[in-house]
Amino acid sequence: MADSDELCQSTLSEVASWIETKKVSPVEVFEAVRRRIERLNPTLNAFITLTLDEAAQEARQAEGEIAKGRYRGPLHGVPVSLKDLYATRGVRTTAGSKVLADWVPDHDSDATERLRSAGALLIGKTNMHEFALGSTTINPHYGTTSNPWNARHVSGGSSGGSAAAVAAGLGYASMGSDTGGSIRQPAAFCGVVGMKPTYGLVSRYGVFPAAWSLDHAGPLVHSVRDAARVLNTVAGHDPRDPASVDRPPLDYTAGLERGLSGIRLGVAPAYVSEDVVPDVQRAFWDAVRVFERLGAKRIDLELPSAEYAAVTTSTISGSEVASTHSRWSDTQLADYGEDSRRSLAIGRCLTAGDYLKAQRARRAISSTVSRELESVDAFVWPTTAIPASPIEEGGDGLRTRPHEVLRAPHVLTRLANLMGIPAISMPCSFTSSGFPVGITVAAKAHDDSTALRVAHAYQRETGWENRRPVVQG
Amino acid sequence: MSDPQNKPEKDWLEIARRRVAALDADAWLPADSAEAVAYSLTDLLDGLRRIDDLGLDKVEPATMYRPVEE
Repeated sequence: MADSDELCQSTLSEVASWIETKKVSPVEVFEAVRRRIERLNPTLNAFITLTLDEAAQEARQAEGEIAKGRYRGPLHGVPVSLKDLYATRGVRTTAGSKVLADWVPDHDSDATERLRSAGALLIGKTNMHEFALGSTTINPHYGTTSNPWNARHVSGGSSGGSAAAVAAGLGYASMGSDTGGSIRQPAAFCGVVGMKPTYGLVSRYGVFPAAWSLDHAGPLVHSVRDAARVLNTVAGHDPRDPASVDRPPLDYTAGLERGLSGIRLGVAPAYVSEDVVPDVQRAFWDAVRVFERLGAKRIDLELPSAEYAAVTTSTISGSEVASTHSRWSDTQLADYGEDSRRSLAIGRCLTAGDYLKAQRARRAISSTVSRELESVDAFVWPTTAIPASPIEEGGDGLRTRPHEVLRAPHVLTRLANLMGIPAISMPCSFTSSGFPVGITVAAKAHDDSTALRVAHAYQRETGWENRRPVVQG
Repeated sequence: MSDPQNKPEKDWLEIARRRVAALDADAWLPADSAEAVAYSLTDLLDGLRRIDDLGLDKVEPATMYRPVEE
């Protein structure tokens, strides 16, 4: 069996198979992860709250069940974490804020329930951008989460703690949330896989909202196969979430090995604009050539400018966020960080007319893109225009043009939130400075299986997901 | 009656500044942030103007909990 650090840096699928075949026990896995967290988390600050004592108990319970032949499935005995906006019964849930610093929920989120039922070990609550209102995880209340590839750079956000934890081997999966790219952007920055499933596939019950009509819940993991396995556990109808879709459950691992033969792969050249830095452009086009070599047929798409999706989602999320927070922002404004207050102020300055215009644009953009997508099975674009930025420069890549909110380097992620389509970011190269670069594979709504199949074929061929950062503890 | 096709260009920064001022910006923002928020809001409002390029005249708003076009 691998040594302790190698064990921690394995994929969820690998460690699950070792647990199932009793090559390693849940207690051994948990203790290896615990030691690694104690050594590396002071550098990374990936967690707001650790629940290691409870997880140790869960590990012993899992070990006993498996010894008696009661193996529950691929998450049984596997350490995982939750972004600190997933409600956890009896464990404080801050949403990265001072406002909720003392909130101890009396209930679990739907995803928390499903992970517990699957036998996962919940090791802690990960750091995040305050209330998911930004993309850096520079958090004024709980500190900044560093990027495992270079601690002077941001991990991205808002699910930055989740991405950093998985990348550094502090747990095998972490649940994040994504309103405008908050799973996929940090996944790209930290060199892991981040999946935003179809809107409504994973319940948001118990997930503190940012913008209701754009919020998605999904996993951050090492491999596409890992993402499919977590999705098998957390997907499913939940009447407590009004957006939850009621469809028969699928096995998302079932079609992974089908390859790319016959796949029509859309590419939108307009999404590889001059704002995308050369290292990312090179990585993206190299990846497209890999897809073609594997049998995919490339079809160029004419999509509306990414800026339209950016202004539309910014207006919708700004308005919805301002509404979500009105109960606190009217009375506890001083408890918000300055960054969040700016975001909320912009939202409060938008009118009902602005919001409805954006919702009309949403329908127009969705209709246009849906028509284009009829000619393809999946489509790809660079997850972000730039790699992870230095913390000292603010981390958002807007140092020289801070007010140009529609040209932010992360607007490429927005279309998938606008339409609710599945989108997976996975590593596809590294910059000359050693930072991971991400590519996104998206598919039509409710065709998460095709997105997973296409992304998996790429990973099987290239193996970028097998690189691990060396974090100095 | 003026020709709606020849509407004068709006001064979005001025509009943004008025909206930020109406927010009681002193309570919401540090003194040097109000103007920065006005600039960000200007970017957004100008972007919303450009959305007219999509031809929204006959488009109804997306519904809240079913944005996915099935």
